[in-house]
Amino acid sequence: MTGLSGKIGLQADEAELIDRLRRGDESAFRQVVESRKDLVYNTVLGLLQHPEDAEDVAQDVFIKMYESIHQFKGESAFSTWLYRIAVTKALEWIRSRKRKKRFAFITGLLGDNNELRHDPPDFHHPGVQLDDKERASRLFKSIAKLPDNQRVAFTLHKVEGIPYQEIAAIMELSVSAIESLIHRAKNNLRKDLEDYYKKNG
Amino acid sequence: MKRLHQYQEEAEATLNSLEGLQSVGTDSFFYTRLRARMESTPPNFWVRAAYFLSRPAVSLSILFLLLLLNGFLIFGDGPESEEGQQHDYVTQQISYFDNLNNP
Repeated sequence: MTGLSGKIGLQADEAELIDRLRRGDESAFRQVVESRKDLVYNTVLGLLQHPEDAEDVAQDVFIKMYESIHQFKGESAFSTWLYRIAVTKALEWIRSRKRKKRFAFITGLLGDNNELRHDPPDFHHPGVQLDDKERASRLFKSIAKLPDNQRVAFTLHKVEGIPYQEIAAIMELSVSAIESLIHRAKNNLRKDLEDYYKKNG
Repeated sequence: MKRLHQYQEEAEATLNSLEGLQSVGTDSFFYTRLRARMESTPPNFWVRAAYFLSRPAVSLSILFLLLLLNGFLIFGDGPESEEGQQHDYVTQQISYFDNLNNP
């Protein structure tokens, strides 16, 4: 098995688990959290590039899942739905950080310098091979500059290793749209990295 | 030219630096922390409502609707009130002539 189904281990009794979740069964909730917490954390970490905030957002994802399980109609796989919540929550957090950054810039102009508080340090993904640490950190910086859609598609594919078809289901887009997003993301990243090496070469 | 090629190679190597990325896990007791958070912050309607209203898309839409309503009240009522004024004027004229005819 590959992709989401393989990673999560889609079980035959998933429908029963969801039914128990709907009835507010705590053991079902615990089961879902324990079996999917690393997957959700990894996804959110790749998008946020901030370990502490990734844990908070991962918690938000499970709280949202718990509150809106009645809205899950089973039109997509449960894991796809969970990924969708994770991506939405991560993007909300990224937008809120951008707003804070803009606010910090304004307060900076007024004399109250908050820039350090809002400028995150270099991100070193704990799963990157030691030899590639510096390069990966540089790449994550470039990924952070991508438009939201390209950022999500590229991260889900490169960091999570999810195939195009499943990314299309998560982002509710066609497979060709995902191919185009990832192609554009790669071109933008290449350009940004080349500019970086020209300046610092 | 050689340098440009070198930059392109560097960029390509960096672009491929996520190959073989290992999956990472959350710290221990994630579920315990999650439960603690859920119990400490019970869902509050007003907090949610305030959060919802504070979203730029929502607040701007409300502002736009208010402006639209305002404009409608100001400009939409114009011809109707003019008509009303004309009606009042005609009524006044009739009662004036009535008074003249029946002092």
